[in-house]
Amino acid sequence: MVNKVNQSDFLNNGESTEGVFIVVPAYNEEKTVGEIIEEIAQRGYKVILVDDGSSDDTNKIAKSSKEKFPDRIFVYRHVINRGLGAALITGMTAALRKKAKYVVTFDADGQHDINDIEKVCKPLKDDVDVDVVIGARPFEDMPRSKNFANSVMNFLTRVFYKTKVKDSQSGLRAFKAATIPKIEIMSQGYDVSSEFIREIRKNNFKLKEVTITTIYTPETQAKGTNAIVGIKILFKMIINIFK
Amino acid sequence: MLGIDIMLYQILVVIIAILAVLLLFGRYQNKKTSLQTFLLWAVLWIVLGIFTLVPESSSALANFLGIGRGLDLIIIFGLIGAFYLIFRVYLRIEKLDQDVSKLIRLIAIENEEKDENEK
Repeated sequence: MVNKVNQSDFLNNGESTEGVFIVVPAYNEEKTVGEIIEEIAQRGYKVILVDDGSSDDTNKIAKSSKEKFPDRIFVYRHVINRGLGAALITGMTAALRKKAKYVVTFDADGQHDINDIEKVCKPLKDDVDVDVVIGARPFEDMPRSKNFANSVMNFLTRVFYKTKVKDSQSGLRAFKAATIPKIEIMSQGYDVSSEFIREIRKNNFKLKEVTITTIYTPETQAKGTNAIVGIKILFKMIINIFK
Repeated sequence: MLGIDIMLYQILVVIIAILAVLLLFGRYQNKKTSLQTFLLWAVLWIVLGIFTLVPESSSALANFLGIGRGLDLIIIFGLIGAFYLIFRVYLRIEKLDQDVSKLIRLIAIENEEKDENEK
């Protein structure tokens, strides 16, 4: 296998990518997934792609990307769709098994900027005390409906989990490997984002938030936090109180 | 004078109750139901049968508990019971959901590591 890509473990600015694993959960993302994981791998990061039971060509595309970067891209497949939360946990578990030092979660729909990976990793590398970094999307840039839904979710996260964060539903997060075994996620779906916040609080992890850019396209609009997902998340939060 | 002023609904309910208990007993004998579940449901159906055949008995119990009428008692307990069951089913489904995810996760990781090792 010949591949003429940059095989060094350093970014152009000299930052090391060693031990950094990017977990990309993907469900029917055939349009964007190949480009994203190849671009991440090209920078020198390791990619854990979790195909969450996609019915389109996500898996095929991911496998062909793996042929280009056999040592950097790892493809996992859920044979049944289990939801975002379950896919993230699979990816994070897999990253630990591959001896990851830092684990970054990254959405496969193309809404994140790959340059932001370094931004969320940097506080973990530079500051021994920081355990988790969340990439906060500036709400001013969001379309109005998304802005509203995400503001409500921040408020609910604050009420239920007593933690004030800038962006509770962000998909770009970075964890130190040691924190991951302590994180207990019950939910399978989109409400996983709020659960991460709860776990951060419960375990007293030191959280840092950095501002990231978000790319809004019709594709990235279709998924994520809308009103119905928000109501479902609220319902789950209420049920969780009784458990 | 039992037997003379018996109503159609009473016959129906009693037949359904007897059938339900027989069905449960069959399932218990075939080891498809635990003793606990069998007893719980058998008692529930028998109590319902008694209330149907002797409506005064539910009134007596209702008075004892401070609830006005026998029928109210049945409806209140029925609703509470139904909500409780729904809640239990909900929790059980959620547990199953998580168990399925664990299995799927294990399969995903094992398959990937098998493929990686073959190379």
